[in-house]
Amino acid sequence: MAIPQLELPEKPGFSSLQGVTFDQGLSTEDMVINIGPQHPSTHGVLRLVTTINGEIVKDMEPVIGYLHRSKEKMAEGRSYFQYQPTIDRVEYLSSFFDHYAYVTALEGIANLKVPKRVQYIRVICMELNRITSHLLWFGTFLLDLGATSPFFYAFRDREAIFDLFEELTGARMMYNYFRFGGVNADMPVGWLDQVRGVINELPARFDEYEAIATKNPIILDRCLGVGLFNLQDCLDYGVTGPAMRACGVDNDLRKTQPYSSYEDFTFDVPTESVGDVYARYKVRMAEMRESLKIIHQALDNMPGGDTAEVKKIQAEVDVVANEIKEAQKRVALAKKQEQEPVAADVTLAEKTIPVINADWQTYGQKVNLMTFKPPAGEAYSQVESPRGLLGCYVISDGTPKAYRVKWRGASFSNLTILPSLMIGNLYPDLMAIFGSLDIILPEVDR
Amino acid sequence: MSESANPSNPISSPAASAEAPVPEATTTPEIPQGPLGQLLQSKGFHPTALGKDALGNESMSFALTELLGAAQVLKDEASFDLLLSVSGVDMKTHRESVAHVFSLATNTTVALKVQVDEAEECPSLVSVWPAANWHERESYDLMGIIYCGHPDLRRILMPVDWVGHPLRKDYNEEDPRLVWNRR
Amino acid sequence: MTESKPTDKHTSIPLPEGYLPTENKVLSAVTEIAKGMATVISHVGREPVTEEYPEVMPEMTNRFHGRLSLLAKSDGTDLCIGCKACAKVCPCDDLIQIEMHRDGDKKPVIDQFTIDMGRCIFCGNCTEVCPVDCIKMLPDFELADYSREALVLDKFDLTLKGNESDEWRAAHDLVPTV
Repeated sequence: MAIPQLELPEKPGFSSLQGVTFDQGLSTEDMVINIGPQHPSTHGVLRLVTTINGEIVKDMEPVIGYLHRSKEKMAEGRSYFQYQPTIDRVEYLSSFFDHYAYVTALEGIANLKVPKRVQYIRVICMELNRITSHLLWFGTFLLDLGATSPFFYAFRDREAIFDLFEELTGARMMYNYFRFGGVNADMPVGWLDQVRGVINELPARFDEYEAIATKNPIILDRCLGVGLFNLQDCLDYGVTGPAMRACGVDNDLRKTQPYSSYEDFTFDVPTESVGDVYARYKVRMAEMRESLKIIHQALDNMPGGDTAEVKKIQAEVDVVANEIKEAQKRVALAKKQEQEPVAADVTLAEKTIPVINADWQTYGQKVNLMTFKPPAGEAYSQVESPRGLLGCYVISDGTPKAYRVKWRGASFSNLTILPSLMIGNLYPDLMAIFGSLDIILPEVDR
Repeated sequence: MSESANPSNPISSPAASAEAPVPEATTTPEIPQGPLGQLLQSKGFHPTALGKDALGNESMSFALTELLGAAQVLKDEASFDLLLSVSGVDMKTHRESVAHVFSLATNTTVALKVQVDEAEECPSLVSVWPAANWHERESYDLMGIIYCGHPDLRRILMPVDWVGHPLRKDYNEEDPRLVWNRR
Repeated sequence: MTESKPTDKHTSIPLPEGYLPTENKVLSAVTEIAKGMATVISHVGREPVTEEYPEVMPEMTNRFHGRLSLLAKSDGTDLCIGCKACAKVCPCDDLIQIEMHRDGDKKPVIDQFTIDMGRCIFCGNCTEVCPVDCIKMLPDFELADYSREALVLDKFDLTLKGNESDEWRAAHDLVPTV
């Protein structure tokens, strides 16, 4: 049988395989390996039916569906609010984004206005979540390549951010925090300062990571020039997110279709031109620093400032509003009894009831979550998740239950490019290539 | 090239969908064509404008025979180059295949819908956007829409020997294989 | 050495000029590994970030999603009015089961209130819709038990005493219900 005549791409470093072709007179034959479903490097439950010849992958077919939990069917049997907690499980590493997509779709259908303060809180949540997601990717990616220490360092910093989330939402990973037209509860008093404290430490930590990994000769050797694809491949396979931006496209929904007040913040969209594993690594590392920039701006410009401030003003407003309401009641009572009301009451009752700045509220138009019934209509909402374009297609038929909810997971499309990257490549490169795509299987299977 | 929908095709005519008890029943023929609909009309296609969805994405529906040609025009002339998703929607009387396509150049999303009756086959978009491959497999798996011209139409999320298509509205949830972990 | 640009076999995209490091490989490898090792070693003297859990109990935040409980009035009587709002918004179908009747004064009396904590996903939906702020979550996360049946908590297990309820309300800025 034909022995594959593959030349390795010339790569820098110390690879003993450099310059070696595989025609050494050895007779090899095809072998089928099942990688997975349970495999520490597959970040979930994925089976790759791989045909290899020697070290060369000749065919690969991903088999998915092991984590299929029928999230889309579940939506049809539950009311909108009842379904919401289960969204966390679609993509558990960055579930704020899932919630954002779902909530935005319904806000569009029900035409709810979102206050500025809520938009800023959502931006802080999502950007912190992007950092945690990328940190987990950083740790596991390097773990796949054989580096152990960065895994622990990444988890340490991730935990610090999870503590912030726990303070805010009560949960570390399954937040269930965004609501239709608002958020569950305002931030705890002093939370903004806690966030500031955590993210002020992060740049130094990122420097440490980069010192360990970025120019490490083993990392360079395994990443440079491996798993190359270009923009056309991205379009052909539907690859989005950092993997696409590593091909030289600066397409980022946060810039091109600013949602949730992203137009208020100045930040860069990190891109790389080459499109190999190393470029994707660099894009993600740079994205974490850009997220910090956005969070800093959101913290400084938070409408209403810290919760203590808002509470104080709200209390003052409430006192005045109560006085006016009481006066109005007294005037109404006097008129009913056909007496002359007190003059001071009349002047007070004619004043307008003061309200706190609408931008500072945590709810735009408060909806009754029990009976939330958006009008018939449909919406396709998109959000730039850490893995790419996350879409949520909601069709409402005017009943309390969704007619159809469809999730467009970024990982689902990103996974499709894997076989074409692997065929003809070295089997040991699988972990580097697969890790660099940052696939999360619950989002693939839903 | 008339301004209104092609009356000779019952599938794409708004009157037919008005009888179905579904959200799209509110569709009225008065909805004007969006810019993309006008572009397609000038190329000889007859899209039915469905207006914009709640977040401003233009959506239009096609006859089965026109879908591929219109998709190719959108890709070539309006630079809709990134297929986001293909969703199957069960409308009880028929099924709908909705493709959401994104343009990197103009940052707009458009929804292309076709109505597929039980006996019909939907043309596959793989020849225009190869990214549709897995999405159409998923739609076939969960909704039972047959895509003709698809290179590899197999189940993707459910096991190969699964019976039925779970996302259909009339799917029997009392499948014996679903009760194994009931308590 | 021939001037062939390094490419990927599959896509045949040439790598741009200057993309590959040009410095002395051995020298850069030694310095970079030394830099990485120095970073790792610099962690030796730092304060530990982990807690020794069973000995040192972590302090949970106010909003922590832990075990579900029913608050009582200050005098220890039932606060729940049996409206079943919590059961309706629960994503886990029949997790919360309530049986109630009304006495002679049309006052609600709760006969049974069971929650299967083994199937709870701790989303907090029920706590949000409760009209009398009765069903709440405690910062208690140690829920392991020997059987699934032991995790089905009834009204007696769930209800807090009057003073405990008052403490909870004080910690969460809730107005006590009389």
